[in-house]
Order: sequence, then structure tokens, then C-alpha cells
Amino acid sequence: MIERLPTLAEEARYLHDSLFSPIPIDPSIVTRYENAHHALFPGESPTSVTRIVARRLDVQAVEFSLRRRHSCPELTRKIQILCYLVEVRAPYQNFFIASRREPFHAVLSLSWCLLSTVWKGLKGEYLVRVHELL
Amino acid sequence: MNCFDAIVVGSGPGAAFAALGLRGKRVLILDVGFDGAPAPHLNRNVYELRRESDDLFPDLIGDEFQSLHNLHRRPISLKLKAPHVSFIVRGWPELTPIVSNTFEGVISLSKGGLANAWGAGVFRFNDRDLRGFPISEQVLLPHYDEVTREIDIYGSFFVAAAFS
Repeated sequence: MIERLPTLAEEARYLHDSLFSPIPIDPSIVTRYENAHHALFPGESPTSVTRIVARRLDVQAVEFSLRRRHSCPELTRKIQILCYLVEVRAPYQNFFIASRREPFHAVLSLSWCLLSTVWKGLKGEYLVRVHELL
Repeated sequence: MNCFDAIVVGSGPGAAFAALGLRGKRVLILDVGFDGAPAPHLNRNVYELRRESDDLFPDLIGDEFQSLHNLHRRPISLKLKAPHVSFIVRGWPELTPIVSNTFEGVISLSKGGLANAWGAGVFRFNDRDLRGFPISEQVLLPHYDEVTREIDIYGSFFVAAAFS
């Protein structure tokens, strides 16, 4: 069966949902994501990112695993682009900046991130092997 | 004819502090360099700006995605490629290339230097950094304390400790 390759707009929506849920993606961010690709990487052919998106894989897990191997910098780059595009919008500021001094919450949050990182690392290794993303 | 006791060349943070040390004297500050278009709506704390502005895309990224050019190539921070601040690093790679295997330096040829993108993140030199210089950390300490009081340096202890 031939996989239908996702469009840049679908890619933007999927990456956004994976990283910034539950904020609904604004259509202007989708448009800017598409335009950024057209402006910065004109004529770029589909990469393994399209396969990751088409198969609805855990982006955080896969990116972590691929980045550790210095493989598929396109996925990291696309995530960076999306992050920069949302970073300039007010509703996303809590994802990037801690505005209050909350040591207890910070310790809990860091602990959760540590556990999550271990989990994502293992999951990423599994997904990369099963889906032959290397 | 105007006479001055001292002339400070440049008007960045270092020069401003040099002038501060000369208070009471007649000091002339001279600077030259690239200048940016006025953007008074951006002249405030960037964190507050982000929280309170609905969409800073035109200012912080640019309609032609200027900030995102060479995304994967450092050393210039993406923030320094934004439309209103790109003058800060304009001409830098061509005019003053720095070649090093151990660090990536950014030089500003703008009026006011890197103070145009002042993030108040300045780290103190310690004795290890000053090895080979005829000056010690202890000598600099009171001056560091003074500049911290005067221009509000960020992360004086915890952040600096991580780099010491």
C-alpha cells in the first residue's frame, strides 16, 4: 500500500498538536509554517518527516532518538521553526517562560520531565527501529 | 573650545560603566556605527511584550522569515536577525571575522553595540578566566558589585556558578 504523503499544512497541525496541545492551532501559524518552508527551503523533497507524520508517530520520542544519533536534522529543524512561530504569540508564553517563582512546582515539573525523557527515549528507540527511520 | 578630562570610545555596556567610573569629570562619549529604524513599540521588557502583544511575528521573525534564515547555522542568535535588531550584527562576519575552535563570538558594529539587545546576562570573570592577566577576581569584585547595582545584572549567583 502506498502511503499518502501529508501536506505541509497537515504536518504543521500534527506537530503542533504533538507539542502544544491543548492550544488549538491558529490558521495563521499553519500558513506561516508553509510559507517558511517555501522561503527557506524551496524545492525541498519529502523527507522521512513526512513518514513520521503520515504514521502519526510520537514526534517527541522519535525526534529525541534521531537527534541523539545526529540523524534526520529535518525533524529537529521543523520543530524549531514551529516553536519560533508560536513563540511570538501571547497564548503560548506559558510553554516558554516561567513567570512566577514556584520552587515546589519547579521540582515536580523537572522530575516529571526527567521521567518523561526516559520514557520518550525508550519509546523513540522502539519507534525508530520498528518504522526503520534511520 | 570644549575640553574634556576623558574620552570614552563606544557607548555599549562596557563604555557606559567606564564613563560611570569617571563621574565628576568632564567625559565625552564618542560612538559611531550602524543604527536601526526607530521601533518605540518594542522598547520594553521582551517578556512583557510577548505576554501582552497578540502577535509579534512581523517584529521578532519578519514577514520574509529573516530570523529563521540559516536556522541550523550559528553563531548569530535568531533574535539578532529580527527585522528591527538585525542592524546590531550588520556587517559583522565580513568586517571582523572571528575564527576560533573554542568559542563563537559576536561583535557589534552598531551604535551602542550589543547593548541594543541588552539581556542583562553578564558573567563575572573568575581567577581561572583571568589567568595570565595582571589582575585578580578580588580586585574586580567591588566593581562588579557596583555595575550590578547600577545596571541590574541578571543571574549574579546561580547562573554564574554554573559557568565557574
